[in-house]
Amino acid sequence: MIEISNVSKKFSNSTTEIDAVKNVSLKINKGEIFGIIGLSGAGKSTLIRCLNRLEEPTEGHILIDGVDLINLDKKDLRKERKEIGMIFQHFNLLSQKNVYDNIALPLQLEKMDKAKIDNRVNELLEYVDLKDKKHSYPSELSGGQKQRVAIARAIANNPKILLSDEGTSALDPKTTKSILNLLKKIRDELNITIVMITHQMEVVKEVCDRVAIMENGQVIEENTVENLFKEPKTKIAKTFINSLQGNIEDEIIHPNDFQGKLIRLSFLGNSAKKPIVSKVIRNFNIDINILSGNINKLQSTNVGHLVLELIGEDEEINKVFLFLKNEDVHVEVI
Amino acid sequence: MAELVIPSLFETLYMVFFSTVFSLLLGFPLGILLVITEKNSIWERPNFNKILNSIINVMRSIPFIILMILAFPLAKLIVGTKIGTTATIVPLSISATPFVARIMEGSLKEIDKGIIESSLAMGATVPQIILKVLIPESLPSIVSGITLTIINIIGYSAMAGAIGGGGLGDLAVRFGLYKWQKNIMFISLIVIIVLVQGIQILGNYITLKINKK
Repeated sequence: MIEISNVSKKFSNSTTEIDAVKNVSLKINKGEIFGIIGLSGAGKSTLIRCLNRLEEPTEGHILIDGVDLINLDKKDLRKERKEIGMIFQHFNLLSQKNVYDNIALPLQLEKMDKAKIDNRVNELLEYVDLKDKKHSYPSELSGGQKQRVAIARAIANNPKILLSDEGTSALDPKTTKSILNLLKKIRDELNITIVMITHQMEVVKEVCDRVAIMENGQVIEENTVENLFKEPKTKIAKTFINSLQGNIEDEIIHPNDFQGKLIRLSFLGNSAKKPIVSKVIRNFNIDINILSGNINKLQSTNVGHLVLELIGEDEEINKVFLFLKNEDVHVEVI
Repeated sequence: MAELVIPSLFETLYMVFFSTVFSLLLGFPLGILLVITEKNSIWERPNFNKILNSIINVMRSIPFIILMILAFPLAKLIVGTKIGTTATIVPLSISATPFVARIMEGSLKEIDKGIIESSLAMGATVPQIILKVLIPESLPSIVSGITLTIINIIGYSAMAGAIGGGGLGDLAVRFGLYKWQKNIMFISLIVIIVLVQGIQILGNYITLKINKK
């Protein structure tokens, strides 16, 4: 549904030229929650802003349902933008208008008549659970409430796509969760495709179906969230996974401190439920020292990690590797 | 004494009121143009922006007393006479216009770029952004700018009065300077002070009242 092909964005002034986004191609499916994660300065924000041409890509094409956004003139672009809602890190609500008028704004731009606007705004207020705040001003709301207003505003025109530019970055963990649940609800019930930029692995873990990792303006890894957790390929992907609470093994476990072989096992879904470690001990002449373990609840499944020290003959250890592979467990030697 | 002061007060109010209205009518659109034609703004016209900026700067550098003389022919054209209270409205309006444009520019620039961006993302047109976003968002700041403008015009109107425009400034000069009746001068002064204070307090009150930030 969204096809980003070879998109680049250069920022230049008289002295320097910065490649914010370099030759990015991605395909995002309808009804998907697609995450783009990266450190600050990775170009992810520029990329998402290219998706509604708040930023004009220097090169490349953006196809939405087959229509190339880049070829649209101003008028058609405005029309297309109404199909693409957007929320921001700092909410960007009108400070001088109350909740009701903020949500009504995109409808007023459509010149919808007052009674219809009233209906729709009340419906939206109910949907985002803010009926009692109808007449409040943004300054009287908490961050989470402001983002709910922004979300209601973004989906007021029944868009096909919702873009979230660090939509939860300014919120505390609990509020983040409630906003993510709301986004999930929007995807499930309204079938809106969601593209979200974030630097928080929590967010990806919680709601995303697939994820792209950006570094230096490029997408360096792209995968389903399960597979990313199971087998992160790039260093930065591993860093992001380790940044989750409880996943700190890399920092405290150094292979040099141990005699045996250190391995990290990744389990996905069903394999997480099997008694793998006890099977290994029973079947092979080997000692096992459990160093750390954790389990991450993804939106679709669970991913478990276990760091083990294997003490025994090399030959035996190789047999263990083979066994684990057959059990559908991913093994990585540290 | 009251028969001297009251008509002069009304002359001042008359001059100030109409000069404010005209300078706002002219200055408002100029201020909006200054902001929206800037680089990276919603209606980018960098060359036009440069020219407009220069014109406004030139207008602001002309001393009021010279502007009044320069405006004589224009006043004659518009109101049919070069001197008098009504004629003074012309140079007063012209001199306050660039001031209003700058005030308006400052108010609009206070708006968070993110808010403009989100309205662009909503598919708003430039006129829609101006009317539904820029002006409502900066309204408190605009009101306090209008207050400043009125007080400024009161100051200039006293000067204009002294060279034939009437009003409280004229009264103060006529009696205080030429006839050496200091009491009339002081009373005029007090009335001007009360007027300025009153407008400032009212302006602050409205600004505070309408600001929801």
